[in-house]
Amino acid sequence: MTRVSEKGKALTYFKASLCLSVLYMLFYSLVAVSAGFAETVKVTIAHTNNLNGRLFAYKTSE
Amino acid sequence: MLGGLARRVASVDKLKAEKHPVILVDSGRLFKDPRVGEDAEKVSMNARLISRAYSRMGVHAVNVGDLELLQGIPFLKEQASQGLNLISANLVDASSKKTIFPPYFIYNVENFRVAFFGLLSSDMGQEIRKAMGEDAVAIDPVKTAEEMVARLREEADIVILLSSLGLDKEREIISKIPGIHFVMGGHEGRFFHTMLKESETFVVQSYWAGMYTGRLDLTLKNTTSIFHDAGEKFRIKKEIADLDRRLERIKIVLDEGKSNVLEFTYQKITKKRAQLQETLDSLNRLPYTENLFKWQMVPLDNSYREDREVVDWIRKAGFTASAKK
Repeated sequence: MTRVSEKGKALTYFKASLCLSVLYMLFYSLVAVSAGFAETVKVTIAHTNNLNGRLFAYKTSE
Repeated sequence: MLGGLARRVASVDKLKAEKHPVILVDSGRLFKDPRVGEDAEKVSMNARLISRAYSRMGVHAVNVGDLELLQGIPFLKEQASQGLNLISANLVDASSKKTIFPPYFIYNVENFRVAFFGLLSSDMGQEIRKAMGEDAVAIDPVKTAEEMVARLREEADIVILLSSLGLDKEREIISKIPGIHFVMGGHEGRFFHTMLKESETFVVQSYWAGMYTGRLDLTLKNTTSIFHDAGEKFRIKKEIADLDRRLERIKIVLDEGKSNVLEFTYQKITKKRAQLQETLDSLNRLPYTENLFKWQMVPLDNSYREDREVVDWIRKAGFTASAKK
């Protein structure tokens, strides 16, 4: 009897968490993404300009 | 000692080893100016070496500048076919009016699309026109920017202009065309400790001769948000701390009754401090969902080793440090 009840509880928790996950995914895809919100993403841009054909290091004394 | 091609290649390898994605871009004027008197063949060999190194680094986009044009379109097409990712939105074929190189480049990172488009000046001297030949022409950069921004706002979330126009023309574009997030410029080769803010656009250049790398770290949270300078809070906090120290020193003098002259200075600094605190408070109130950026100029100093393969290329091509001029 007790074993059945624990199984039932576990199943209920499983169903509830599954339901919450689905709801979160629905919210994220339908509301958050369309409103422009997304996961935080980091990206680095490395920029150069005016190399002017310089092959060698620049000495501060130059 | 700052810069050097072999050191740049090594620094890029180091940067690529970081956890998050790295986009490598150049605003142009990559090659040597052949008009300064050096042997044309040597200048061309120098340009080939640089192209090879930039291809090896996997630079995602190189904007065509005036010094590139001096090498001629066939040369540039050859370099592009060998892996140099040249872009230009306003360098077009004279008859078809189609761009000679891709006008833009889009980098996809997770849910974000970062677009780069390239522009160069259409006002160019006779020597550049001659080197370009009759088949190529640079059309109006302002009109091109207008068309590009309209298109890229549809196709991307972040729009970045790689410019070889110079600051005055860039300001004109920003004032006429909203929607560009960053202008990464060149031409003058200025040093920018912090980004210059023009309307909602941030402008920057990364000095010259390859001595520094301009590093722009983006924290993207929202595809529709504008950008805020993450370094601003740090700078304001530091400035407030400096003012507090000054106020403390002045207060000691005032309390001792030695001088009343400093009273005015005390009031002035107090007012400035209050203004800074107000700015800091408003920055602290920014919602979590706003996009942030951090800009820094990274010196290519001796802490970076030189890439041995590139050193070898340079040596085999006959270039030596003492004969570099």
